[in-house]
Amino acid sequence: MKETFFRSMTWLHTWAGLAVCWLLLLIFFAGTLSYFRHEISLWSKPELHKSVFQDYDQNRLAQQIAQGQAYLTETAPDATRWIISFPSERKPYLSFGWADAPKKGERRGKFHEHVVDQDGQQMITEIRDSRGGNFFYRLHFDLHYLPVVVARWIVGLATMAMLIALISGVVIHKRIFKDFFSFRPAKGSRSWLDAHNISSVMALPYHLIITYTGLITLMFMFMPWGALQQYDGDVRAFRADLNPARIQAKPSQATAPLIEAAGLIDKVQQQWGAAPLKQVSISAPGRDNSRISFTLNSEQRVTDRRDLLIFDGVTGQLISKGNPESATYKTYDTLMALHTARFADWALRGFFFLCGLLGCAMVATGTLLWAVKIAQKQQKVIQSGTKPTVGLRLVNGLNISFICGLPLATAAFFYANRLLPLDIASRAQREVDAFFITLAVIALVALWDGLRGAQSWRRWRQWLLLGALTFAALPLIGAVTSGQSLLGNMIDNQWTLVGFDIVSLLLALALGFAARQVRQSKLINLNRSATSPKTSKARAGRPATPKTAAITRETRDTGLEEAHQ
Amino acid sequence: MILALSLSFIAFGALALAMFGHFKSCFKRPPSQVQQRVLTLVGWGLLALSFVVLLGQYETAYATILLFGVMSAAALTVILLLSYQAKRLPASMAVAALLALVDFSLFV
Repeated sequence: MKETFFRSMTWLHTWAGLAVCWLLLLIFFAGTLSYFRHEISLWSKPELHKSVFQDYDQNRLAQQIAQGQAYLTETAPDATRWIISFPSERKPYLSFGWADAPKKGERRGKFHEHVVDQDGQQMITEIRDSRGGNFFYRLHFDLHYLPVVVARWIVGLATMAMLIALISGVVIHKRIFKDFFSFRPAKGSRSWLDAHNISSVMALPYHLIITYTGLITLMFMFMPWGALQQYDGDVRAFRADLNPARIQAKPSQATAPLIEAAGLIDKVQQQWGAAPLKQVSISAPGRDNSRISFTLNSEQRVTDRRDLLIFDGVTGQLISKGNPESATYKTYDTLMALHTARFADWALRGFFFLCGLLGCAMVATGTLLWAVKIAQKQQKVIQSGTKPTVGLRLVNGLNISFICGLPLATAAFFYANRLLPLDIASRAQREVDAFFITLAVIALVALWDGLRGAQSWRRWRQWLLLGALTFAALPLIGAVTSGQSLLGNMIDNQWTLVGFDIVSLLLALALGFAARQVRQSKLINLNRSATSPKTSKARAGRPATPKTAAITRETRDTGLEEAHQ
Repeated sequence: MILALSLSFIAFGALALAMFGHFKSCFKRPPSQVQQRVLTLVGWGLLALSFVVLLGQYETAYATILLFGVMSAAALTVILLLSYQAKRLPASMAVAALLALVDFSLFV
């Protein structure tokens, strides 16, 4: 350990942070986007942008259920599960979907969704194959291209490191109250430190809760021993008791006629009154172990639990009311809800999004601060012409790959969603591939720059500008490929789509502003006394300028220029 | 929502102004002991008030979570103003007070 507690905590904060920061940036970025995953999914399916939007209507429930059941009986008689989803605030359309039987090695079969047109008769069946917002949702804990369990272990370890970094960060931030409002812009590493502190402290309750509850959501994977002890290692039995609502028995071989689900509405209203429903799900339709479940729309209650009423599909008897009630369960459910924020309406969701962005800023400013600190230490070496150390080049490379790469990769994903031909195989996976290919390209360029010792702020500016341009053009591309412009959507009150375009433009502005700042501001406040011969000559040749900013910029420019040679 | 946001903004502005350095950057002169104490009390008081306002509009758990979001946004705005346009902070607080009054009178 170090000499003092404070030094030990500083060491811990630094290395816990550095070990996982780039992965954490990916997780935070994807997680933040996931707050709006349904909205992103809607944007990614232009086939649903006209003529599908309708509100939830209590009076039409019976008719919609009957229509759905009839349609699904005709379209997917052999499915393992049918789902009739009613319009909700975030998914304002009626849809009939079904899940195929899982193929060998799969846990779930493919899910298909057909959406009902506003007129109530026509069906929109050809919706492009795209994962939309669900890509980002899964990315933030299942990563990609990895087996799910491995990915979740990696994410869990990263989350644990983040929790340690958060707590040690608070411990070492002695001036947390004195410096609560302090931000000193344009002062090199001090500014980065201030930015790091602010992005952490302004949303500190959020960061602590999101990290802790993130671990909680996977707690049965990370610490299963208590449960396994009780159940003698029988994981299935444990899960069955934990979550009876989720158990889906395999369809039995024997068939039995399915009753009319619409006829059960009275029984549902006996239990729940006129509370809005989210969906009706029929598992193993047409078999003798079929079940009809009604799911309640929990609206803004701070809960993640699914309130279900499960009826037998053959007899219509009420079998179960879903998950058990207990204090433990309620605690777990509330903690889950705090992480997933499914209960949040648009205003609170916006705040969650803001805090998520602050989290990304926290991680990014942390790594940039580190890069600046190392650069400062090696400043004399760099200015004398040698290449910076491998460590510095690695950090710079990782920084640019993730900080510039993630927004650009996201833009590539959206462009692929709109520009890829509709009938290519595994279209959804190709869109995801576009995301990762973009990341890889930026990483490879960073590697190439690093190997040559030619990393510079110019590359940052190039990527940030490209990001700004691609996001600025996105609403236009969206309009051209979907037939609905931003103004058109505003007129039609399609605020989800308007919101997407506006956030895209705001992101373009932010990236453009960042690109501009990279050029002008004192990113690395190089020691003004340490000037190279080149700078002194330049200074002698130019008329004296009173602005120190200009001189520091020269120093910085030439300093980095020399790193090229 | 607007009421809670405005109140939180003024609250954090007051708490910031209660600090020596920030008061000076806004008003050119240092704050007196009394001024600092009053500003601190006003700040905390308004924060509590904005929580009460949210409790009136939403159920308890939801209002508590929303409060943290409101506070993050409000405090961040105060910091940005202090760093880039310090002199505008008092005026912005006055505008926020006006907004709060209008919002209050419209919905009460």
